[in-house]
Amino acid sequence: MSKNTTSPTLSAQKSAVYYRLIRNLRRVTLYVLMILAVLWATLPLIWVFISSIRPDAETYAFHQTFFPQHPTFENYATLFRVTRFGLWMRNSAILSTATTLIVIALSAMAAYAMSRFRYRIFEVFGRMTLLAYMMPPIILVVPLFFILFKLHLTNSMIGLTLVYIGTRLPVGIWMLRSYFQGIPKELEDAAMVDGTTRFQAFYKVILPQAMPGMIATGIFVFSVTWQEFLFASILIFSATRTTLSAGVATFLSEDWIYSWGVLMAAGVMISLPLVLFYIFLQRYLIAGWGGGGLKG
Amino acid sequence: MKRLLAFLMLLTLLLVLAACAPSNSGDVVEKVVTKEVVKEVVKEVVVTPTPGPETGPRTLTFFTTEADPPQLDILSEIIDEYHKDHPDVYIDVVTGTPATRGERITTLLAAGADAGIFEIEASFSRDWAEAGYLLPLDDVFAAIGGTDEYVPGSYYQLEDTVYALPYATSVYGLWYRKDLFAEAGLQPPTNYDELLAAAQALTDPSQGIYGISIPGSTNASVNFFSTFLWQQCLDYYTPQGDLTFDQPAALDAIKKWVALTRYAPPGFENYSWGDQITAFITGKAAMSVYAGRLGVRMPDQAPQLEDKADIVRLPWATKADSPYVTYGSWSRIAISANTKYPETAKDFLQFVLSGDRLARYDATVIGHMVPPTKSVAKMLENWDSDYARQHSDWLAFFNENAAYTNHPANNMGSIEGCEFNKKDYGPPWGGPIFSKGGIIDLMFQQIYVGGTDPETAWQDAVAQMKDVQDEWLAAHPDWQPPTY
Amino acid sequence: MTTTTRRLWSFIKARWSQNGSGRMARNDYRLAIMMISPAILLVLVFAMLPMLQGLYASFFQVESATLKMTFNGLDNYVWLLTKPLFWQSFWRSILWVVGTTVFQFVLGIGIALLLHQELKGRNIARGMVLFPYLIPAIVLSLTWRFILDPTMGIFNRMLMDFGLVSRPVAFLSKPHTALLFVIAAGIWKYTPFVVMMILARLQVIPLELEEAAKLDGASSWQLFRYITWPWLLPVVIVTLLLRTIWTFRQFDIVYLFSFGGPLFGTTTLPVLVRYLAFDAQQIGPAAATATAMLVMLLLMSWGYFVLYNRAEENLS
Repeated sequence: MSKNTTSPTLSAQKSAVYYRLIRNLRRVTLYVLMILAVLWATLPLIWVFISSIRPDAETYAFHQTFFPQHPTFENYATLFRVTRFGLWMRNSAILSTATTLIVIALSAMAAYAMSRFRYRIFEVFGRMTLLAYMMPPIILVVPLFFILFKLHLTNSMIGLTLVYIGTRLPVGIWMLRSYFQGIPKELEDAAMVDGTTRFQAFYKVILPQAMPGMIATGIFVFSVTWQEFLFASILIFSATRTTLSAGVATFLSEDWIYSWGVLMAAGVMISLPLVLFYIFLQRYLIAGWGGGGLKG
Repeated sequence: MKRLLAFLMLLTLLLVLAACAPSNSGDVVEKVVTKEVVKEVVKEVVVTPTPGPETGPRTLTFFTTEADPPQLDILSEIIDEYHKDHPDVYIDVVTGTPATRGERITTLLAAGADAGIFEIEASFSRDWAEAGYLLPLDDVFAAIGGTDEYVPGSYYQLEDTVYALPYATSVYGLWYRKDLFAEAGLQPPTNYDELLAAAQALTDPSQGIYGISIPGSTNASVNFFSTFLWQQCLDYYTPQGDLTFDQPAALDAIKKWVALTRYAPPGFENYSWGDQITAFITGKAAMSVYAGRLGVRMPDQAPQLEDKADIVRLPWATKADSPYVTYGSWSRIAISANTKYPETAKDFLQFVLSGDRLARYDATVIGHMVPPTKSVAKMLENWDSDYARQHSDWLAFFNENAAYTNHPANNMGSIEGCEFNKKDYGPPWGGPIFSKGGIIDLMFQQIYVGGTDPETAWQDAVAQMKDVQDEWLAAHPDWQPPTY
Repeated sequence: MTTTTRRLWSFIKARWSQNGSGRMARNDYRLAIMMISPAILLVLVFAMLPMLQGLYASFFQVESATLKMTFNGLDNYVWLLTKPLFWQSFWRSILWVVGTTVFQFVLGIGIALLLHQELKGRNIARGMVLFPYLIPAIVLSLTWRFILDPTMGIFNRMLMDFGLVSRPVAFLSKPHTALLFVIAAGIWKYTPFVVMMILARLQVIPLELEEAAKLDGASSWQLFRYITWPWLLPVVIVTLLLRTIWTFRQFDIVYLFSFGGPLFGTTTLPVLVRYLAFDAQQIGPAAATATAMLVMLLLMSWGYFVLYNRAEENLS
């Protein structure tokens, strides 16, 4: 560290202390930064939770206290009692799961085909998916309404699922295509020499290899579908068939909030499944993104 | 496996083909991109579905913006009762916010789809009735009791045909804090000068209390300001549709209204009517203009205010002969002319809008939802709830003042001179002027947020109002002003 | 268009039943087509067809009540380009995209590098930092609206308690501060996505390179500048591409946050499309705006692809 020292041993000692100090300081700073980052990400959510267990009378008090004086789960009870929250949750779960599974299945097949065979039409399709992928959903919503009307699928969960699949597929294909490209061709060639057909090779050899990528794609598709608001709010209108985001939006209007406490409870309940789902599958996620997904 | 795959693929293909291609063509790629198909889709969409036989299982949709959970709760109770008597009939409740109501119903009606039974926005009533989108409801109207039962002007009628039936109206008043007024040695205001003085005296930012909350967002201004304008002996139009908002007195009214906002809580420029309630309920505003819903929130959200709050008439008067007018509009329900089961829909509508069903429904926000029929009003007078017993004076206030309600989009030229004479005819070009985010709302946003001076903003607004009217008149050369 | 598709179709049919280049190729071809066609079909019907309809409608005057269409050529585009509202929304969109993405990347790369260090509890921290990404737009908007509310929000309360302001500030009622906070919310929600992508890439960094550089006595800055950064660059560019596209077309957060107001202060292009289509009942101009957005998106992505290819080349 310091160049002009007279005694080499002393300087070595000194610099060791100095080095340790710097090292410790650096570590402490890193820990502080890490805690700050975590707080930055979670504080608003903690506030949502705190607000959700605060009784209405305290929420609307002149001097609101930071922590609720009489914490209660009353808001949650109200949420499930007077709205169709449970039903919306079920609808969202069905829709998101169906969309995710179908998108993974179809995009895995398409991505595999596109990564293994070079035909002109695939190139055309590849470019088309890119286009579809970039399309702002707001462009699609009015024409989609009329297409679904024509198919007798307005106000139907099947219709909404089809729309979700159609608009999520490009992302799925885009993510998985490069993933499949990363899997060496020799693997299936070897399997096919042993007499299996190409399709068998695909689902027995290649799919297991691509599992992390498919799970990452699945998490992604599931979470964006679970969160989706625009399509759900316009293509579905029955209170019994709507999804969480669109359902909750009916009592979060521009003019009027029924009760902040109940809304906050709804916020917690919408986010929770996603957070749990994610905690459960987290290790696949990072591996999947890293292992080639989303590259070029 | 491969065979299974092929089968699955074929199935998907068939499904989509069967659904989307009108002719049996395998040439999907081609069909999809040709313009003809696009046109075809649009064309076929506008075909009216034919009414089916009204037997067997039937599902009706019921669209409402009254999405407060307790209201929905009672509504489903009423639906269950109906379903018990009519096991074949299912009612599908559809909720929306007032902001999305327009786009949703418009899209449905334009598509020729069955919009079912739905709450109708007053400003659309005429267009839709004229376009033939609405089912005539004369028989339901008569069955419920006709003109003997209904308050005049509560239902929507076009050329002797009733197209929409009311379930409630709200009536605005001035909520104020008795305790704060007493502390300051003030009486509740009865005119503009007293009001301004009180607002000033009660504003104390160091305590976090502000005199009066004036909502300024793009979905609130017009309703609140209109009451002020009317009490200045002014209206936007004459009964014949000639613009009167361009008179200098209108500018004066705007300036007086804006002067009140000096004592409004920070953020008032973004207040919608919901925030109007919140400001009062949280104790941050000493006065707040609103209808009955504000009181109904108190037991849950601010029990300590229940005996400290009271309501009086809107004290906007600046002259001795100012007319008393307040804001109120009838919420109405109509049935889509394209509905599959018109008779069933009418029967259900009659069920909901009469007897104790309507009473129970209106009682969910008692005082805020003033009923349109005499018999239901009677039922609500002695309603069995703590709130109704404790605040019978408030409920009486709303009932008494329902006669003084007026609405800028539904009542054109109700104020002539200093006389209030309600006209049941709205300016047909009024949509872009009086709807949410319309010309009047934006004028106030320009003043509050954009920093434009009132005079410039008013001149802009007047110019736009003229344009809108001229454009409409040019498109409707046959229009004749109503005669009274 | 039609002739191209017809040619394409006959080409597909020919390949389907070809005999020339052998059974194997034909079987492969059939399999490939079978595997890809459900996806093609669904994308065509539910993404491409509505897009084409939108494009088509942008050349028409559409009556909103009856949906009667009258051809009016480029009138919608002319109307649009002469409207200040369009240009204001355009610049607001640019500000929203640049503002959110720049901070997302600065914060995201920083946090990713931090969480790549050997620290105790970093796995938990990694998990928790990603939470905002999982919060649906509707929850995000209502959370932030609640926090920023001048009457009941905790943010104003804290500012007042610390004596920073004497009366509550209505952040969402001024066009500029409203946009600022929408941008802040966008940064908050999507920084985790950047963290995720960068962390994934950091985990597969070739250790030999780092070791070698350390042996050569490289400082941490040099290590970052010459080893880590070039390794991250391709992912940074891809992520940048994704984020830019998504941010540019983002509707829900911006809309649910302040519904485009006050005074159109948060009206970005997608919100403008909604406003034109539903509030102003101008379906033609709405479609034209949407088409303009699509063109801009295509230009942007083309630019990134050029950059991406260059970054990949530098790496190898």
